Parts: sequence; structure tokens; C-alpha cells
Amino acid sequence: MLLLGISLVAVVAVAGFSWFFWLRPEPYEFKGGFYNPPNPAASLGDVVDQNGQPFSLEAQRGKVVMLYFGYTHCPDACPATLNEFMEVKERLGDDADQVVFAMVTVDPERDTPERLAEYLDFFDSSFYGLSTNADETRTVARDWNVTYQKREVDSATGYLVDHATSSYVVDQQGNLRLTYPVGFDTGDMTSDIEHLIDEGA
Amino acid sequence: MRTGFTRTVAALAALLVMGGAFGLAAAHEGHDHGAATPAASPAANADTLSTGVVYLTIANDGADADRLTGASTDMATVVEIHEMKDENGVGVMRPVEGGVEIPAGGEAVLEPSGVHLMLIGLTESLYPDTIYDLTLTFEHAGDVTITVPVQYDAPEGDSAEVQAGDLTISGAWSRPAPKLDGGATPEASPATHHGH
Repeated sequence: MLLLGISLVAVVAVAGFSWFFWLRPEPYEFKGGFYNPPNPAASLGDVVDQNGQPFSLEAQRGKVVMLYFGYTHCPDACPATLNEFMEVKERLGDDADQVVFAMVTVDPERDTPERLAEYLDFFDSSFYGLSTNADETRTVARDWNVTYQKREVDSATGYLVDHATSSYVVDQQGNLRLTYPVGFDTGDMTSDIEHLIDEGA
Repeated sequence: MRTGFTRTVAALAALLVMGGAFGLAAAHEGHDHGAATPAASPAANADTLSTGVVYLTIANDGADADRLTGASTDMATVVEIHEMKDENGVGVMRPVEGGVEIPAGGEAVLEPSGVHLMLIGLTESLYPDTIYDLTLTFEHAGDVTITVPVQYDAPEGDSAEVQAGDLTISGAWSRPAPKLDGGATPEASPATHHGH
């Protein structure tokens, strides 16, 4: 009798474990590069937005933040990324109000808040254009592992800025979760972001 | 039961992760140089010109190579040929010296994250769904004027082609780009520009 009881418990336990480990729903697989484990996103320092208002990631808790580092003189990768953000926003539909889109300039000498305001007005004025002074920009970029380098070249633009072209996604808890290279499929980005929104809800 | 257990495990894991996150976030705050310090306004800079980009494909059916040496348009003060290269995730952009070769029987593709024409000192904003004229200058084929549509993505399928001798130019497009207020021409004196 005791043996039967123990056997029964064992069978139930095995069944239970099998159920839990094999039959539970597959976890969502992120399409973009994901940080495992997620780490708290580094601070953006004392950046201000295009209206001169202080902006911090802490103040965005509860929302997903999608951001990239770029500059307004850059014609190729930066507008491409902005266009991707616009597409993601459109695909998100009603969920778009759960997401904050931002660019952080790596060219603070030329990208004043005024210039960023004009620039973003052309694309989507709900996007944040963040800037700070040159020293703080260096600190923020270092904390984010974002490489950028001003290059004096023989060009009418004066100088160009080599910079990391990835975009980043910070979740509702302020953790750095995802990164995408420029040119990534916006449908896949949207799917990832939808997942983060659901996860945080 | 199972769902409850899963949730509990997930919640515990989330708590652990969040706890770690906040702990680290707090530690990170400690290194901040005083969040209350307002950001210094970046110095007003003379260099307020605006830029744009053009992509296109040039095919060469001839027996001799040709070379795209430059371009011009009323939409910009200067047009340069630039190349974007990805070096370990860092976009490195450089002017291309000597132009772009279009090999005999081959083609030159100017595309995102590669070689492109950079419009410098936009005279007008490049609005989506508009078109403008651009004149390409070739070593042998001479000047060839094409029409460039402004759109968010590369044209799909067959796009307008322009034939010039052995060269066929197709798939031209420009990304939308704003001419920012007070946009300087590259020759303009820095003294004429100021913050506003």
C-alpha cells in the first residue's frame, strides 16, 4: 500500500515536471540582438530635448524607449534609422503611445536643440532630439558603448562623424533589452516591441 | 495550477532581475555628475547646412569602362560622392576620391550603407513624393540629367530608366530630408550665422 502510494506520487511528480518543462508555451524569441541578462540601461546624462527640457530614462519608466545615436548632417544611416522608427510607430498603431522614440546627437557642436527641433519636425515631432555638451556626450557614449569619432575630411560638410549605427530598446523597467543594426526589418522590430509592451503590462 | 506556478516563478525571476537592475541603477546614479546640473547649451555653430542623399544604379553595356566623376542639382550647393562603410558596427563615411568606375559590361550600384551621392547645403527641403532633376557627370558619357523621386524606401520593381550612350541609369531615389532654417551654404561665412 505504501509502495503504491509512493509510486503514485512519483508518477504524478514526473507527469507534473514533464508538463512544466515540455508542454509550457515556447518563450518569445526576440528577432533583434537581445541582452541576456538584461542590464539597466546607462544614464543619458544631463541631456535636454529639442525644447530645452531635461530628459531622463528614469522619467520614461512604464514606457518602452527606442533610441539611436546620430547627427543631423548625416544623410545615409541616420535618416534611414529615423524612417525605421517612423515605420515601427505606424505599425504599432494604438500601442505607439507606449513607446518613446529618441535620437541622441553625437555632434553637439552643430546639433543645437533648435536644429534638432527643426530636423525632427520634418520627420516626426513626437520623437525626442537629445543633446548635451561635448564632454557629457563623450561620457554618455562611453557608458552606452557607442563609438563615435569626429573626422576632418575633404568635404563641403566641414567634418563627418563616424558613429555606431545601431538602435537600442530600453524596456519599461529601464533595462537595456535589444539592439538593431540599421536596415533591420521594421516588422520584426515591431513584434519585439509589442512583446516588451505585453511583458510590462 | 501550472499557470500559477509558472507565474510565481516568472514573478520571482522578475523580482530578482528588477532588484538587480534597481540595485545597479542606483549604483550607477552614484557616478552621475549631478543630475541637477542643467546641460550646457551646445555652442551655436556656423555649420548649419543641411544634407541629403541620392542612390542609383548605373549599368554599362559598352566595351569601355566609364567613370562617374560628379553631379549637380539646383537642390544643393554641392554634390559629393561618399562611401559609407561598416567597421564593426561603426558607420564610417568618407568622400570617394576620383569618382566611381562603371566597368565595361558591369554596373555601379549606389545604395544605402554603401556608395551614395551626398547633397550638401540643401537649397530646399526634399519632401516625400516630390521629384527633382540631377545632372550626373561622366568621364566619357558627359552630362546626363535624370529625375530623382524623393521617397522613404528604394523603388521596387522596374523604375524609370535613362539611357545615355552605353550607360543605363535606373532606380534613382532620394531620402526625404529637411533644409534646416538658416541653412548655410558651404561657402558662407561663419559670422553670418547665429543661434536663434
